[in-house]
Amino acid sequence: MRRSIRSTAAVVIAVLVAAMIGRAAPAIAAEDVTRERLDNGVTVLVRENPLAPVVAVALLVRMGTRWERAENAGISNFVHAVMVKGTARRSGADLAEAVAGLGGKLTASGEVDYSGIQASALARFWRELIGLTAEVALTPKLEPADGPRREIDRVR
Amino acid sequence: MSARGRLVLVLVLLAGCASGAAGGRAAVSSRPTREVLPNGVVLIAQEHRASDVVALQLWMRVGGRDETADELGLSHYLEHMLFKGTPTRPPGSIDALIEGLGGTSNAFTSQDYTHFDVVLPAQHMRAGIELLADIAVNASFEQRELDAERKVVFEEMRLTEDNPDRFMVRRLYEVGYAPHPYGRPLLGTEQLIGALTRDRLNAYYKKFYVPGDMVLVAVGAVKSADVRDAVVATFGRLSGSPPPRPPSASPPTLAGGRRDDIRRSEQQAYLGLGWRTAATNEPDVYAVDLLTYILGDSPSSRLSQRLRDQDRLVFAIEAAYGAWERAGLTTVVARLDPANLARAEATILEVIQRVKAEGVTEAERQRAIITAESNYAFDIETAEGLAKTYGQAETTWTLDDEIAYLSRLRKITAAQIQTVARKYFADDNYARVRFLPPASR
Repeated sequence: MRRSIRSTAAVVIAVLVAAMIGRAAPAIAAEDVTRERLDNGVTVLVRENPLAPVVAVALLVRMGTRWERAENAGISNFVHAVMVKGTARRSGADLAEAVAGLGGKLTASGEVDYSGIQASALARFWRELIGLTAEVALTPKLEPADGPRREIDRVR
Repeated sequence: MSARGRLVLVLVLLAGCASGAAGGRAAVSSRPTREVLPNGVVLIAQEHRASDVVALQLWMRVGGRDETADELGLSHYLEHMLFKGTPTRPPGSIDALIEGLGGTSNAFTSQDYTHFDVVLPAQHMRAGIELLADIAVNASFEQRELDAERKVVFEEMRLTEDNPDRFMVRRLYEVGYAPHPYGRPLLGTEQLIGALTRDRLNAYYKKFYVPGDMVLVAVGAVKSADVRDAVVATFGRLSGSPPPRPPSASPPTLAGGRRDDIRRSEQQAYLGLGWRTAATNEPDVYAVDLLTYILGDSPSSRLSQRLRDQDRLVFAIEAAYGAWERAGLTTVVARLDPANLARAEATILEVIQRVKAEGVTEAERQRAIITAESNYAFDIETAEGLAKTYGQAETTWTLDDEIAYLSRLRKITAAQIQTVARKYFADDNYARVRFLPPASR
């Protein structure tokens, strides 16, 4: 009965909130957001919202169609489609199971100016969710062991 | 990937990690208050300060199932017409009012209820409640507006039929529930809507839009006492006959199975199977909910792992559970190559058979509970979502059941999940709808 499509919508909402922060939307005061730059250059923005027991993580990267050339047009989108299908340590099925075990969703998609991984889960699993996001971002399999290029061919 | 070198921005939005409380509901500020006014209007209110808005929703205890054969589509038509105007609010002025206040409005119709909602900045709560109370009984149905809306509804019919995913769900429910009213088209038929008169629509409206059928839900940055004052001064003054809804029978069983094949222009095939399961008021809803998650909620679910990843029979497969007041239907829908139709159907039955024979694992049970908890948490994250949850519960279930939902779900054992699989799912009691590509190919 509560098997609604709204859980998908929630992921979108998280991204919308992210966009609003960027534009300093009036509902979110600047002091509610902490911003830190790690030694390796990664910027971390955090906002606590105690009203709902959920967490959303967005990893944004400066990669997008505007950097594509005629020879590799579409490669950004292709990378997003393949990268969520497994990591160096996990098969696609294991990854899906790990995400589901957090009550979560994890997708990758891109835009003209940026790309990224969008993930959400129950708030108590925030550490695990950041861990999975990093794992998918840094060690995507892109070429599964059960057959070279098989996943890539399937996506194609 | 060069992406690694360009990793520049991590954006983390955290919510709800402050309390440290276990469980999904802890962060919701308080329980809702529920009151039945002397004229029968139910008021549900809750202060909820996620942002400075208030969600105001009118839920009517009337829907497709209340229509007679020659009234098909009238509940839905009213949904379209109510925001069109009243004697004191000319056509167009209601939308202008809502948008002028910075708000939004929406409405939808189901077999069990009809729903109208506005989301407004909280300081305009009273204006919103006055508006809903006005359209609930004073809609004027100007002939010009009524005629213009016909085209919108016709277009909605065509849009549903044009989209194979939506049309599959509709057909599956029609085949799964016919001849019960649950199996009839919510939008009506082109013929009935084409011939709809103002008198007929108005008679239907006057019959069902009575105080005893009304539920008003208000959730947001407002004090419940202020909401109550506004509702008593508006909805509280309405009068009307008692609610007309007669006791409704349950739909017939699907014993023996039902089959429906439809040729469509798409080259991909669709396979939809539906089993009759528990209605909202039956104790099995919790176990059926968990079973549905385990079978087909995500890429890690049994059906997806077996049919999509292992056997490569389908491009996508999903299970869903629609629990209504008088019946429930668990559906499995797959998109696939037409050549795989028979094998995919047999494999779905095999996956279900295995659950019946061997049960589910503790890990699956726990994952399903976490998924349910998470879906719930996202459902109720906004004032609008929380209000929707309450309104739906009040009209198809009970508010108390809704509030107890997660705690009851957590108590369901793997054995109970196996029991409902055995009780409801058989090889010869499901409705099947298939979309096939054009015959000439």
